[in-house]
Amino acid sequence: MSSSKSNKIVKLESSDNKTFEVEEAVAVQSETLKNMVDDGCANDTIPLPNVNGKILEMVLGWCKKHVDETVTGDELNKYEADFLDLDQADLYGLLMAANFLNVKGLLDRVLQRVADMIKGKKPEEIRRIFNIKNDFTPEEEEEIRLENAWAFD
Amino acid sequence: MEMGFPGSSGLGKRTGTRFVREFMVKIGSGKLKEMEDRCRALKVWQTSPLIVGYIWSQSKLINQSSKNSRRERERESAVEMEVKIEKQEEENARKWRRKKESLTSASLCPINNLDDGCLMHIFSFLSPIPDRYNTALVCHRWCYLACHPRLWLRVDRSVKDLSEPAVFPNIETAVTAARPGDTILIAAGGIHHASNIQIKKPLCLIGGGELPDETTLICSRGSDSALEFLSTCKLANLTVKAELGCCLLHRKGRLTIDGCILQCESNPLDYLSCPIVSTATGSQQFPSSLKGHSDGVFVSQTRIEGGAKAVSTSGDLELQRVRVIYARTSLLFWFDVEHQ
Repeated sequence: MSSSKSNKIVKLESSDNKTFEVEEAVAVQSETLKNMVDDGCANDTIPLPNVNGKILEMVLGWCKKHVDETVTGDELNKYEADFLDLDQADLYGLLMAANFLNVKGLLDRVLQRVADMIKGKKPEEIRRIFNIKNDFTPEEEEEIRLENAWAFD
Repeated sequence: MEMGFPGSSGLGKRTGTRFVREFMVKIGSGKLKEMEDRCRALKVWQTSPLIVGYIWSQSKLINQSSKNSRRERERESAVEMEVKIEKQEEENARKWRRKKESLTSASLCPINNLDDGCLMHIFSFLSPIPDRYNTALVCHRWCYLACHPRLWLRVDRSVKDLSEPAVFPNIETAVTAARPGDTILIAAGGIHHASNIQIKKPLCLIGGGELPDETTLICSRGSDSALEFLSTCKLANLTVKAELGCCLLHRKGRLTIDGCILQCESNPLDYLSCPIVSTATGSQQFPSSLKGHSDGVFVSQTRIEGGAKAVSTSGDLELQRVRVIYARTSLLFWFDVEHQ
């Protein structure tokens, strides 16, 4: 446990070599970074090879907003709603980053957003949206339909 | 007849190809070899032997006197086939290119780069019917994750508080919290008290032990039944015991009981209790063609003991297709209770 928390700066480097400096309080919103800080590995710049600069900036913005005590609950909700208004490519990048950095609130929100994309769609539509290949044979598909058919009146 | 003609085993079954077989016999094996080679060169085996035979019959091999005209005709039909084959090959190449693209660049399917935990977290936000069910049909990995026991609700009597999201101390709370289509896993060991638990949404209750004996639900003396079903449900691998009254009360929907044990305690008022009581009536609004949608109770591999009789129906459903196996220590039943 570091004794002087208040002014410690954590340096992060994204995959495209952009560096970001944030206060420790902001950085520890990410469980991954928190573990690094607690283990004392955060003295040099922390490289984050699987997060690019744009996404890292977004994630840090989120963390900053949540640490900021002057932000009201409503403002925060609005911020979160606007935050997730992204196109698919950015959404995936954000998802991977939130998963890797383990920022709980952000991860839940993004996963919920992805779940909303799946809700109410048929399997073929889901495959089209996420570009997933259908690796079922027709017999296997039929088998699964039958297995789950007990629930449908 | 040994012809060496690929696909000839299927020819006999198809009446339309009798002429193909007959003229092949007339040709003799020498010509047949030539035919096969020619077909292979045209890659005609991708279509059916019937088409091959048809083409060659069109080319009038047998009745041709002049070789030239025969060759011309062959060439004509061969050209037709070639055009068709070319188109097919283009289509195949296109499909293969698409396949290669999706295999080589993972960025085209980024969602599958997520780890299992993440995907299961996403699925936990979806309600089982119809969304999670639809995700199970997307691909093998999603099917495995969507039906994973980690997404089931659990009933564990030893849990003290409600802090863990999907673990409940008793069956009533689990049933209340469940969404339609959820599966509830009831922990093995000990006794779960179940009195008049009404289930109004499609649920699946599964016993957590290896054998049905390990998970027991007991309905005490004061209640009518352990479980009352007003919706399509499934029970598996459970033991339900009733001291007085019935084990399972079926009001409507399709109840599937698979690999369970239903026991009524033997006591002097035995004649009042029955393991399964069904008050459902056959659904009048569905025509008989929609057999799969009528109310009923479907029992398989279930031990039934005690009680005046196994099933008591006060509606107009009837016992059908009864099978019994006399195992060493018990009787195993299979039967359906449904509208005639």
